[in-house]
Amino acid sequence: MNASEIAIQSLFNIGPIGITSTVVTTWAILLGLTLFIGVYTRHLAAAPGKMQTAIEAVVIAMEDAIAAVAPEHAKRLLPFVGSLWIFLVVSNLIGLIPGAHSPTRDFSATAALAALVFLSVHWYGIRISGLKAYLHHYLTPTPFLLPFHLVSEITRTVALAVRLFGNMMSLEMTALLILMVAGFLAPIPILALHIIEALVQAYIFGMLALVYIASGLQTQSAQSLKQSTQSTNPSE
Amino acid sequence: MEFSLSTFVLEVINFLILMWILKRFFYRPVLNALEKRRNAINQTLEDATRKMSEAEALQNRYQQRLQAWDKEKQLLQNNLQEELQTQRGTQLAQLQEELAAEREKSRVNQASELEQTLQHYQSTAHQQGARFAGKLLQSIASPEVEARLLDFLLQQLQQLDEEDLKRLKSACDASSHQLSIVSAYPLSETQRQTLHDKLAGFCIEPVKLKFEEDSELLAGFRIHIGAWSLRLNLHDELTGFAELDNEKASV
Repeated sequence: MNASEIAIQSLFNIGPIGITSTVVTTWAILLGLTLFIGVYTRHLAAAPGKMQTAIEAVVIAMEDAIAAVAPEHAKRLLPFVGSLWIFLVVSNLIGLIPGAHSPTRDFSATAALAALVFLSVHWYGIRISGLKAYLHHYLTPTPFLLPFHLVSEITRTVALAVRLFGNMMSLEMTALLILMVAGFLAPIPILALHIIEALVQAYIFGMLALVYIASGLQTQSAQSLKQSTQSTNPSE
Repeated sequence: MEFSLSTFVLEVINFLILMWILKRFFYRPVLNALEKRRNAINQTLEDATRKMSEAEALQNRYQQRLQAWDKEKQLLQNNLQEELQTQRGTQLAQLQEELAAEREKSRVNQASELEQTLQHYQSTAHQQGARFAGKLLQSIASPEVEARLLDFLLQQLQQLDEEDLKRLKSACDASSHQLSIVSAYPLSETQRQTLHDKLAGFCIEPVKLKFEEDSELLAGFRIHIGAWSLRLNLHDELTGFAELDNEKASV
């Protein structure tokens, strides 16, 4: 192992598109999850076995976590937020396999996920509340806050991408440095920290995405409630 | 911190593909399975609730039936108690009647026994009295007493009514004028003549007197005129007294 392994390597090209190790790892994760799902969710029984119970527990836990933040939209948000959690957990932990690297140590990958979160906030906001009502929330409580809203949208997305990238890249770099300095088996404690950090960062990323989406939905809900109250009391 | 646009785009596409796969083949079937199980559980709960309601209704019905049975049982017990009371009263009254009859019978028996005992004592007393009187009269018997009895006899004969006189005359005729006179002591000639004169007045033809003596008479006379017998002596009086007592006892 040498310092060149920290850098993102371009493995091959498909036409003008360079395929990096990050993309290949992501495809591997995609393939592995697909196979896992194909094996274990093809024949779900009424009386569940151990694996089915575990799968159902994971789904229920994610749904409950989403329902705790956005109770009315848990079913709708589960595919996106749940997929984020599953993908990030697997992606963060795959770096523990010798020779493999977490896709999340690549800023391009975390930026892609952050961009998806950014888009999903507007996607869900517009789909649920409508374009006009959703855009109107940038003018509340006062139009003077519009620039701050816009800056917040950008900064929180960048922060989302950089936070995940920085944490995961620093963990791998730390393990590599310890391995280079101290030798074989020395990075084991930092690898244990890697496990915890991987799970925590996946949870934080998914939860922040959920909070961003839910904040937009709740803002629309509050505005809708205020409008309905004014329409029922026109004298006020 | 390098940024690759191609990686960025491919990662976006990869994640969207992953999200579609998970939504299509993971969340939907798992959520459907959970929903089916939830529905099955709810159905089971509804069935359990319905069965519980039915069981409660059945329990209420059986409780009402039990209450009806209890009432019927109580009614039958009351009727039985009343019938037992009636029979007890009837049997008690019958028993009391039998007891009263037994008491009356016992009282009659006791009275009879008492009467018999009393009669026995009376008879004993009479016998002892007769014995005592006999002893007494025997001690005081004497020719003087006999003489006085003769005077009394003569007075009694003087006071006979017509009916007695007729029967005396017919008895005298039937005895062929043979009269027997028994005395405790020997009679003097004067006494014999007095008796002859007196008795001759009752017969048409002259009479013949036969005088005899019997000390058992104690004092007095026993005159036989045919079938007619005139007794005026202490022995016969005591005997008559005892016979009268026996007659009273037999009555």
